Amino acid sequence: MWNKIISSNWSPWITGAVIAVIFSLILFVLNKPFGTLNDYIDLINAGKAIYYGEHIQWSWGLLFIIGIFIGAFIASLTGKNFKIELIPEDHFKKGSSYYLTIGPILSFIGGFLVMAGLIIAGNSFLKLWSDCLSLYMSVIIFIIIMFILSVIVGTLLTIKIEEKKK
Amino acid sequence: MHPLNLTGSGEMFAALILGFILGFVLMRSRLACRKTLIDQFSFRDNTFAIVFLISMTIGVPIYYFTSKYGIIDLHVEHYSFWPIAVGAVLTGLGIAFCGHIPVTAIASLASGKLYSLWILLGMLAAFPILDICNPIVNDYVFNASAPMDVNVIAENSFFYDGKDIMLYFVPIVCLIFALFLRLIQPSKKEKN
Repeated sequence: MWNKIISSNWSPWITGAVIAVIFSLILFVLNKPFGTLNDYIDLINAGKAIYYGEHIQWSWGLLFIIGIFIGAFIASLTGKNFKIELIPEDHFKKGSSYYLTIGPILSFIGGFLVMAGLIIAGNSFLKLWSDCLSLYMSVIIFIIIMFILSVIVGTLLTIKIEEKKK
Repeated sequence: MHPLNLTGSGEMFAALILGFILGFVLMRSRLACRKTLIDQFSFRDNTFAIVFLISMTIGVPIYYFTSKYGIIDLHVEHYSFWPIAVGAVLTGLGIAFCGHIPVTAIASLASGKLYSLWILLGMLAAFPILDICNPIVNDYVFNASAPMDVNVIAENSFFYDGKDIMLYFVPIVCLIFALFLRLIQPSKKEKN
């Protein structure tokens, strides 16, 4: 049973319930909004402190992110799916001219757009997700717009790739 | 009963452990895999949407009852229309390109997917770049006149604001959506 929990893929039904419980548990234990944009600013500041050889200012938000990193690392080890990959599989299939130039640029721009969107919206995705559980209509609007746009762009990209294959 | 409201080293330790559990769950549920989110938006793999909808189905009653009995505090946030709309458009575009949200990018990097570093660098670069663009964003997004006050909508739709019907309606609708998405999800054979 324990082996199955730590090494096999979880069903989305169980995961959804577990995530709802974790969110409530975080609010109960810490009584603070978690996974906020400030945590990422703390991460940047910690990176700067390491670079300049200064003392890192530990905050609970920074430790929360480090906890996520360690948890995912342990999970990938126990699930035996830890694998060093420099290039995503779908980028690799498109050839070296893609995965050496356009691929990383698209990833960088994608990452930038995600965080820029979240900064403008006012919170991180985790916090917005948690606010969704409090039935914030504005956050539900955010999720719906984001999902629809991702579906449209995702579909356009898939169509383009399939046309190229033909 | 009140929230524990830990401080000092207890708070630090609890944050690390809770982060650890969340990271573990993200990895075991494959939410941290780039392919899961990318396939979601072409409806080839509905894992992400099902997780989200089930978290709503279970989480809305948990949040309702725990906040009603004072076990948790729901930290009320104020959002504005245009930042929410523009933010959603940018985030949606970004996810379609990179297939990650910030926490999944961190979890993905931890599982050895070094290409997630590009995504994370892009995410962290957004902070100084938006700082520079702040006057433009302020003029065109934050100070633009909103067609409606989303906070009023939010306050009206809050389940603890006397709208108990939402407590039953939203979880049931989310569950039906999740079942529907599971139904239309292609089998592994069809995907291949």
